[in-house]
Amino acid sequence: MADQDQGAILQRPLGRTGAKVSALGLGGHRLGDFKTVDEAIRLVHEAIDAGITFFDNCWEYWNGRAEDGLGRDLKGRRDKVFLMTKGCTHGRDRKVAMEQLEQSLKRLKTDHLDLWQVHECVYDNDPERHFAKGGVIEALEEAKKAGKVRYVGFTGHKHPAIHLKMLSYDYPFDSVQMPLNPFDATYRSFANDVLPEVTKRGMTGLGMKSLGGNGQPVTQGVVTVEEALRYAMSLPVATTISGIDSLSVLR
Amino acid sequence: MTAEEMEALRRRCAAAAGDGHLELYKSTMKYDGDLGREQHGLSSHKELRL
Repeated sequence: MADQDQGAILQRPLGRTGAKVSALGLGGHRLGDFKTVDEAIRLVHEAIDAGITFFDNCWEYWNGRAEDGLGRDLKGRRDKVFLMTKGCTHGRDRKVAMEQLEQSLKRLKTDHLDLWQVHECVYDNDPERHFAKGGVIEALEEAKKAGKVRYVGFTGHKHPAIHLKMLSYDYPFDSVQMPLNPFDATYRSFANDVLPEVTKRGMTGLGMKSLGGNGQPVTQGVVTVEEALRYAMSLPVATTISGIDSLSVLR
Repeated sequence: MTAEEMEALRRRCAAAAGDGHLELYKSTMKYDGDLGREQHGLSSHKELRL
């Protein structure tokens, strides 16, 4: 993968899009749970100053508080980041998706997203529901045409077969988010079964859950944080999205 | 990380990782959000006491 060194954090291409993002992305879920507004703002600003450009979020994190908070924290800095959030229809129709998109834009205080993803494809029938007539995929198209989102993708953490089913519809997603870590290789492996297919199609993989989702492999002494992060970031992905819950962890 | 380092780490983790207990988002329902569960006609986490 072609990396470009811009200070401390590498910038990598987002698949075929021409956009570049930081190899480490700031997870949005933890951002919704800060004790003080000041601490959240400082973390976001320091992350940007350190070269992190990829910012993750989701319409349903903390019932919208995560998007509200990031919108506040990015005031005056929106143009310095690549902003992603996710729509959460969970099988509902295009209209629900577009309503959620408008709410996300309002909360994030922006007129467009850089990336809008279909959140949590984890049930066997999710692909059929998403691609049904009048479903969320039509909303992705509508949003792109309206200039409200630049790129589109989907996420999920459950099973490679569900991701492959989403890809089987041959829709030109720009990104596909999945759990990637050293443990994945021996259990329902996204790295083995999904990532090569994503790359072959000119899309980009986005990694998450580099520490197993809850850090248990680290507390159990299976791996160190550095090993797990280095592993995930060495896979052919544009970015590895990590939850960072304090300034000390960020630093 | 080099390809060799990655392979060595995978080998080291294989025994612990093989049953999915280090990836509960794959092997359990704990990481499946309530909104999605509701839209699929499934009980909430609270109801299931997960």
